Amino acid sequence: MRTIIVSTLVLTGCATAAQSAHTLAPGKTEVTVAGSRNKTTDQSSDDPAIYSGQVMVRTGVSDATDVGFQLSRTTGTSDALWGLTVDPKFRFTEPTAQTTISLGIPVGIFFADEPSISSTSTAPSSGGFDYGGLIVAPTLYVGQQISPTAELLIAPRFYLIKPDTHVYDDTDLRAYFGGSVGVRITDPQRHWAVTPELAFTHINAEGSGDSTTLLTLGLGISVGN
Amino acid sequence: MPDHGFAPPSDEPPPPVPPQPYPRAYADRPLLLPNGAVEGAVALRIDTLKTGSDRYTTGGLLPSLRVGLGLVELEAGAAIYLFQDTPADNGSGTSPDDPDRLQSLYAIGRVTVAPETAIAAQFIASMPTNDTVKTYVPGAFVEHKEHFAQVASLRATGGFNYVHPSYDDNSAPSQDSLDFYAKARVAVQVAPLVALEGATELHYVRFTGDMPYYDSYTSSLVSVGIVGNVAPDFDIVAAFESNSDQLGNSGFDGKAFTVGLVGRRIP
Repeated sequence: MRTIIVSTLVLTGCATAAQSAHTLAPGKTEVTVAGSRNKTTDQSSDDPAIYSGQVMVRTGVSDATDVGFQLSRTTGTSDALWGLTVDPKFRFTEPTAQTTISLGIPVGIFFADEPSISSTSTAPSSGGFDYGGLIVAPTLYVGQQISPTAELLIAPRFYLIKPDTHVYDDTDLRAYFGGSVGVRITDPQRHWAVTPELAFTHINAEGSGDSTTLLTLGLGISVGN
Repeated sequence: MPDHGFAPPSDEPPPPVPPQPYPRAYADRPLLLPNGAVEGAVALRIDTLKTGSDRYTTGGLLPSLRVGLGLVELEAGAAIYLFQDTPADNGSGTSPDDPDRLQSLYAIGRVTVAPETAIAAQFIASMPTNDTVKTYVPGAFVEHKEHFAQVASLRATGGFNYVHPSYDDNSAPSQDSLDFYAKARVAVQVAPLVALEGATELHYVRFTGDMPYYDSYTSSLVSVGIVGNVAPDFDIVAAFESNSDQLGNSGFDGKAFTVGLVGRRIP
């Protein structure tokens, strides 16, 4: 179960990019609906695959900067984790360059969500939303234009997680490493994009010294002006 | 007389603007069907739910019909039970033994209030897989569709349902609830006649009755689908949906697969 919790903390912090290495020009806005399947590579683990859905709205704020707002939640009808992220991105290369390099610094909070228990119940938990912690995931985006309508996207990232005691016994800062590889396919006018991605996140198991890798399959579908 | 490039004045009325053909591209279609149009659909839906070593599979047919009446559109549909494959007896007492053939009915009325914006009322009556309870769900929602250069669209929906389970023998306490929800659907035309659609929805359910345990809960799901316009008036649709719930103590892996045919007659 601990692996699930850690994995979910990671996926609420954007395990996949679902965006271009380019930044949106001022006046441009993009809406993305994304889904992902997350599972550890540990064959001995019985941890199931976890699915997550996300909605992200990005808008250009200057020639080389855009910002996104993302809401994510693991699927299901009872216990779940929510992530709420602000994701500024800064482009360092020329807009016409074949290779685009930019840096995103998503900062988010996550919540654990349990069914809210009735006050007349004798259950020990009160349920509802519990603050889970803070997550920062600096991400380097490297986009290579492989055709006028396709961009190869490589995005290594760090995850820094400051958990609350609701999810850990302590509030020590945790750090994880991961990355994603994907292809962003667009129409010539870039009114839409489809971004399939494969991401990994290296996770050190608490206490045991063991480690595992979380594999994420993601698909983002974007539309915009 | 000099030619100023203007047409001479005329009392004749301007020629009528020919009606725009209904778009074959899914992302370019309007929110509501045009006046006089009729669209019918039938889909096969397979639901799988895996919990522990138990696997439940159910199959159903989803016929539906939409009719355009100018500023109004009416829609109705049903869910029809086809088959199930459940563990013979896992002791949980939840395996339905005698499902009703007709599992649910729904009707929706949409009214255009602004370009590509509609308010709607809906009613759902569901008859679960036994004879003791029926659920009636009146609701309302607002819907808007934003188009991007005829090749992409965003459809946003927000609304609420009042969920009223009704027990034949009045033995159970009221479990009425209010279900507030928001949906976002993005469609992109990856080829002139093929569209990809991603969707996600969030629900917040607040019990208003005497539900003894929960006050409220949230839920969400995510889906991806493909729409192919295989003939001028026919689409083939397929979709995958996940409502897996793996973080709770009784976690399950829930998926749904849908494939269907949509046909329409546009005047």
